[in-house]
Amino acid sequence: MKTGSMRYLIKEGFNNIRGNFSISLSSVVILICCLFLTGVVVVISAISNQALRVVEAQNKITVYLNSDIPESDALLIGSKIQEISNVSECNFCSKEKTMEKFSYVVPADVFDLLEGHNPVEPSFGVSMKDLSKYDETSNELKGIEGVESITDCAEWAKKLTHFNNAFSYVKICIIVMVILVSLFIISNTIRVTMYSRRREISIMKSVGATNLFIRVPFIVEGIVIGLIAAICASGALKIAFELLLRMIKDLAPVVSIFEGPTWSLYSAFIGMGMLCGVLGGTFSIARYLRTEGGEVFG
Amino acid sequence: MIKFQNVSKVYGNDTKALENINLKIDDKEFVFIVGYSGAGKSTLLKLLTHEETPSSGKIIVNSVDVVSLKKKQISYFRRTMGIVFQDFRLIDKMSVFDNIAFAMRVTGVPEKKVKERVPYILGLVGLQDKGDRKPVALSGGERQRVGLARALVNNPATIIADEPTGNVDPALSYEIVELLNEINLRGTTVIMVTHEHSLVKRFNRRVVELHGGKITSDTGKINSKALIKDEFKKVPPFQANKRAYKIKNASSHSQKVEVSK
Repeated sequence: MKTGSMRYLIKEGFNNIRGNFSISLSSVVILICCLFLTGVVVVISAISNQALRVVEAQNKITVYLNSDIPESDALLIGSKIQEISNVSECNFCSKEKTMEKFSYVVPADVFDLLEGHNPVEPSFGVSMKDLSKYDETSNELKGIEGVESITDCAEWAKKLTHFNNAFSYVKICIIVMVILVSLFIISNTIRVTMYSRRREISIMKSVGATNLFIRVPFIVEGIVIGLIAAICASGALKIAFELLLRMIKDLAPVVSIFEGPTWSLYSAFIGMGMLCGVLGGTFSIARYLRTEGGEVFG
Repeated sequence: MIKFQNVSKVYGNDTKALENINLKIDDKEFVFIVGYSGAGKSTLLKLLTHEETPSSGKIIVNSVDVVSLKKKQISYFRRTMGIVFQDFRLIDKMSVFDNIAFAMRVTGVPEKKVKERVPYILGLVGLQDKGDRKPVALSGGERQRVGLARALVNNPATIIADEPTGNVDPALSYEIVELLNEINLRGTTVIMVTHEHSLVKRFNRRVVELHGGKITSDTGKINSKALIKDEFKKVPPFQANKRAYKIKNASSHSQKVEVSK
């Protein structure tokens, strides 16, 4: 196709959007919502994966003692823990110290409600020499008198893995749904444009325009709608993630380690938006040209 | 040359639209196709433009077997013909110039050639001063002349006019057919479908009559050379000169026409 013709066809594609501005705008808005939803799902999945990696990197078990246990007894339990052959390190964290840690992340008015009472349990942070002996060590720890419960990273890792596996199915379903909805929206928008231009298409057919020539402006229209939606959705996702991060940063400083939407996600958005535009445009115009769009005399 | 050989068309619901049609139209002929509604006139045109394919028989247009054309070839085949519609089929948002240029642009003609050719064609149909007007600002006759200009702009070998006078008053109908007559006299084959017997009688040309999907009468080929002489006798000398000027220059597409006032 010649450059002059291509320029004319691209211009016609933009004219299609201008000619059906309200429908094009509503399509862009719906697509932004669809892509934003996909982005949220992808970011949640990425954060969950990052959290899993962080948890897996730690091999610490937290051993909680009875809350009313005196500190001297607690230190005795500590020496019993040290005696376990697979324990490499054992650090005591008193009720007061734990409370102090909480004070950094929990608002002060929560402490007022406690009226000086300290409900937290003293604990030991226990590191293991050999992670393969995890279950044995964990059972030995549970068997020590005065130990209330143990919370270990492996449990969290298991929970996170379960969540990740379940969420990956949800993620795939949502992405497939979003792609289908996007294709449907773009095809419908282009069909509306086609019907509003059916007279022009019939004239084009009568004077011998090729099907490719008739198709290109509609494909351009689809690409432009998809591209605008992808750019807006990327921007919205970035802003939303940063706002959320700013809001919860004070509550949980640890969230700052999570990486939000990346450039690869934005690129995927743009690719997906454009692909939906190309496919939506191609399918709808091909179907139209096969049926009523092929008529000259009508 | 256009040739229909034993052409029949039966639609899906067993409606016989055309039955065993044998018709030969030579180059540069002017043929009226007449008949009542449902006679098969529209089907004949649809077969000619490959909008429909015959159930049986052969259609040859300028040595091309229309029936065996591949999908991709249809658009190129249609470029050899110009179509004039009863309802004009003009695009209201475009100017007269752009309506005509549209037919060139969609076939990929460079803009420079479009700018040369469209004013020439506008002059040919007598609308040289109305290029920037919108179709709604024109009379029915003028709109049909725009339709005719659009059909002519790609220099087709054949003009197919589907009841071009159906939406214009009788005086303007004459004007439209007169214009088609002029186009034919400069060497373009014209096939015109019409209901108007008065027009057919007035322009002494070949008439093919369809009834119930069959050709019921065909006056046969009329000698165009004799007609040209007759045509010139009918109109005053000034008009005749004007027409001669147009006909003489019609073959040169790049030449701009200066129509006498």
